[in-house]
Amino acid sequence: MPAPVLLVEDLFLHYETERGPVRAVDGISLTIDEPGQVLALIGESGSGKTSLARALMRLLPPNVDRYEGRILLNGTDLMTMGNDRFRRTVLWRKISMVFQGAMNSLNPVLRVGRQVAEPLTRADMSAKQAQREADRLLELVGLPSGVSASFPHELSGGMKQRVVIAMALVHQPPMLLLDEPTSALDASVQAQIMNLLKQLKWDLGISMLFITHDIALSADLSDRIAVIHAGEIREQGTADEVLANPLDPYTQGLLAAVPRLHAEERPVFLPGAPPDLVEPPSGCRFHPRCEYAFEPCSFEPPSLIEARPDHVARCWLYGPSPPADAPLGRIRVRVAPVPGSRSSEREPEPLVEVEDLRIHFDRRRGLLRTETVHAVDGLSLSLGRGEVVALVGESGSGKTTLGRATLGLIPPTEGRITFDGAAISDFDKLELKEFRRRAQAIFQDPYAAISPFMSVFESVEEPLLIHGLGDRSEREQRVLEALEQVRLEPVSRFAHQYPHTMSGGQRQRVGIARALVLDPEYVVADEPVSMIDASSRAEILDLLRELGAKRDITFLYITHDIATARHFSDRIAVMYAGRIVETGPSSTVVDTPLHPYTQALLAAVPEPDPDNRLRLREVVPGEAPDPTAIPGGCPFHPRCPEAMAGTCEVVFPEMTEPAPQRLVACHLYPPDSD
Amino acid sequence: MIESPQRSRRNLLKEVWATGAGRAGVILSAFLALVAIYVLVTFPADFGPTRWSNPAIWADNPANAAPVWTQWFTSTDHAPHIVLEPGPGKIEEGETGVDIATFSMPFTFHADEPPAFLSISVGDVVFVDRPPSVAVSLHRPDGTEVSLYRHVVPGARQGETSPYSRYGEQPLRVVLGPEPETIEGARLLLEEEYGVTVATSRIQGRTEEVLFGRLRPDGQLVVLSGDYQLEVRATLHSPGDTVGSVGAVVGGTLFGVMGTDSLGRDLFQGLLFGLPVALLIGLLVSTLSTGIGASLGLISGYRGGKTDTLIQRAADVVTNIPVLPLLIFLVLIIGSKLWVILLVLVAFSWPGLTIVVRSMVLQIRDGAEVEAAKALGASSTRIIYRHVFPHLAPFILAQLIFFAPSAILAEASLSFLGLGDPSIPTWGQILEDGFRTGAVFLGYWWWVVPPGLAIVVTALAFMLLALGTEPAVSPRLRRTV
Repeated sequence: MPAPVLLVEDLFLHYETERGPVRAVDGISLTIDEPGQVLALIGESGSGKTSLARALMRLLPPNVDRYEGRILLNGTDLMTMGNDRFRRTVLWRKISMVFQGAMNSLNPVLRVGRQVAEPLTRADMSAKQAQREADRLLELVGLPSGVSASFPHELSGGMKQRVVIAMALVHQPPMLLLDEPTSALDASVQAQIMNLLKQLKWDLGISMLFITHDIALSADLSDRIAVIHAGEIREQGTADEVLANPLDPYTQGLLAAVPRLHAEERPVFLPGAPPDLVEPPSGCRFHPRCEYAFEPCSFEPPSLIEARPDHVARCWLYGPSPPADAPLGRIRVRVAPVPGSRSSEREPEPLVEVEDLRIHFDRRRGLLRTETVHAVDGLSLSLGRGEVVALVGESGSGKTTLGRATLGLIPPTEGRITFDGAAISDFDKLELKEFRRRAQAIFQDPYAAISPFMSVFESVEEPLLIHGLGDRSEREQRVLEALEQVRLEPVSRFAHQYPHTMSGGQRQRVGIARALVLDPEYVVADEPVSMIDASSRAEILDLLRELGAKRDITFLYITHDIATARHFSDRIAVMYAGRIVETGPSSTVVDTPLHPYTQALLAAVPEPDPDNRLRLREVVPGEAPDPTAIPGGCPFHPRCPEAMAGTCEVVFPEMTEPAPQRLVACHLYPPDSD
Repeated sequence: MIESPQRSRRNLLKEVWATGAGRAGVILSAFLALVAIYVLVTFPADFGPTRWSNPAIWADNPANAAPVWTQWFTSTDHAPHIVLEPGPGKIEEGETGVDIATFSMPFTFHADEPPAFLSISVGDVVFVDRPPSVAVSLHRPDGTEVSLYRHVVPGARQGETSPYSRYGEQPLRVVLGPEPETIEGARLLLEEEYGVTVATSRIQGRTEEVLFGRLRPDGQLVVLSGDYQLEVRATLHSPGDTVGSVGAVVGGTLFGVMGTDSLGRDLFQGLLFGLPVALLIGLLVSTLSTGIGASLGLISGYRGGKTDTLIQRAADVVTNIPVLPLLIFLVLIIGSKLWVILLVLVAFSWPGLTIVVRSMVLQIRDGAEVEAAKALGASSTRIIYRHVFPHLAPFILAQLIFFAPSAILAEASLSFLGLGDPSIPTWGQILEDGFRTGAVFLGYWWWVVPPGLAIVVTALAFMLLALGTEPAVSPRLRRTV
């Protein structure tokens, strides 16, 4: 049997800090057996997965405390190799890496073709040859031939990510590390990149270590899956095995948190956050978060136990004396109805109405030229009181602009937005202030939207101060109440904490408490969970839904993730190039999408199905159009698989109602065909 | 791990202390602050005009004397600076009803070189009828007595009534070396003791050498060490006549901690007084200019539009006005006043910060935190105060500290150019004095090196503090967790 492509044994990487060593990688063993095999490494942020990649690439920060173990790459021992030799013969040549967010680290002043060719010219290749090779690589990653001469800012996010992958492939390494290669991309672009990686794996036989927090995404590519938590491997096995019969309660929790697209079952969140790696919990490091924890878990650290053939788990449930009901392969699901889900028969009175809204800005390009951005381009939408509407679309579709406009933060260029019957743009100062009390926003990035200089109490109290509501004791009471409602408990402890001591999920709850403390009627939630670990997204959305239902709040939920929209909203509105292309009740839109764009969005949603890795996903090509140059006719026609020549690129499709409550703007559903 | 600025503000001092530079800065500036407080408590506020610029105060000091501690580094035994003050005079009854008050001042002189000068002072003389006369003589260790000086107190003037007071305000002060009588005394000493007759012109300028020397057989004058006694005898003619104060100074060639300048001023005092002045200049200028710069930057960045353009263009204009010619012009018109210099320094140092703060504000203004506050209906004042300023505060603090040394240096350079305020001695002025009187060429290093060092050390203290705050301010420089 030939040597495995990658063999990692007992790898340790500890960082030195004032509080003691951080055990980021704490005795990890992994193997990738044969060329073309992909091992997915799955864990939440803070579980040590990026540190593992750095340890493999020997890209270490200066404060390393302990770095040891065995790394064999095709039988060559990397740990005993001198730094110089490692850099010259291994790094990028035998093992290369695509970093998280690497697409933003391209040199902005060099043409991408030169950036790809650069390492080749250094490896004694003539400039011409290197350029030819770079062009070949760019073509290999699916970029059109002209891209070589472009500058990074001229490319979209997906294209830049492809360039970065091409750069990683320059020396034809047999092994590729991918650290969240799609994390900043839209779902459809993410699916395109996953297809590309699949193709590279099949055609070139490149082995990959695919690092992600998204277990559903890993199903797309991986042959084997390793789950990492607190610097340790918790479970490892073939992808089929791990996804079908997850052994470890942690893996089960990660899987349960994935929103299922075509099922009523709702995602279940995983409580807690990865432990502090300076002082990890005694015994099993997962036991404080584990619902099955029993006697030995709190003091005896479990080792990896082979519970099924070629499938190991670090869990006492598979040990010598398990409790009677080991939950092998059990993924908890909830079939309970969405809290506060309203029956769709009652037609609610509209609270927010958007009529033929257009928002254009001028953007300066170059010295003299300005161009007009058509962020919102003739959009009408009505939100009934107490309704939860999800606005779904790729980045650049104008959904955030629409959300801000309905809050009166951006003046409309044309059209009208009314709130409770009155036009927002006509409000005088007093009315505007009153409107600001009744309409609130929850922001995408809880790190950025809350002042790091204010304690939780101060942050949540601020809206009350601004609106002069209540005296001191009354305010205090309302703040504590709000914190209790968002389940930041114990309230007395959290009230005096500062944001930096809290996890993303906790911070977002502060943001929610801040928005809800004023008892608003309308809340715009702009991607409230996209920056939060997948495992706790469900928790935040549940909370929002529950509080919203209790107080009859109207939500505009802005997201690019149609799967969460299904579980969170009553109605989905799909937005493309500044217009709504399809609306309808959430479950029917997801189950029977009418517009080809909606179908494409749905096809791009990763699902934890191990069969996915055997086929390419059907995704629409390209990315959302540049809002300065929206194609004529149907804006979607250049990407549409069903575009009808002679119609779609010429005639703008009007909204039709092919089915009750379903509105769609597409020539496939002409007005007369009911 | 992203560290929030919150942490940096809460533990600013701790973070500063954590860095080597910060720790050195804290210790150094604490020391400087203590010294400055000591000076403020002990020195008179009008030290400049009443003491530093008053030659009478420094008259008894040797001029251009090196610091005392230089003694440790040289093999020759330098003459010490001895200030003599006798007890109350002994009064003896002399012939013909005349009283003689004798003030004797014994001292030990032990050195390889003669004293730099010998001076006596007589003050508070009161007489009823005839003016008293004063005679000074020196008793040497070898038993000889040399008569040095005689002086008759000026008599009654027209319109004056008895008793007559003399030398009350300003005592009679005589440097004996160049006095003809003293030279004559020295000549007699050589003639009577050693049988050597020399012309008075040869003794001139070497009087102290003769008075405190012994002639070796080879004709060389060497210093005679031992117990000397200086005697001042006052002849009082009436019972009511008194001589209040008598004193003498045997001038050394070394003086004090930091030596003296050409006027005999104790440089150490000047240096000490310069410290609080320097700190005041540094802190005042930096506080005012960072205050102005930061507020204009905040307004400019947050308001935008015309306000922004106006402030930024004003900043451009101010940066391009040459400061030095303007300052010279102002000094010509208004005269060199410290506040003029400070005002000009403040007026010309804000634009840099304004430009930087504005660009930072622009970024924060378009960020999620400000948008969130706007969506809540917060007023601009509230947003600036609670959501913009806190993000800039650590940076502005670091700027404030960084600014102080440049203000001190700027003042020093202006003083060095002779634009300083003469009523308030600063280190720059001491340097200028030294430079102007050629201290550098004459090798009076104690005059120019210490003020230079003091400027450097004070600037260094601020610099180290600023370096220490830098990691706390910029998370990129912070050690990663």
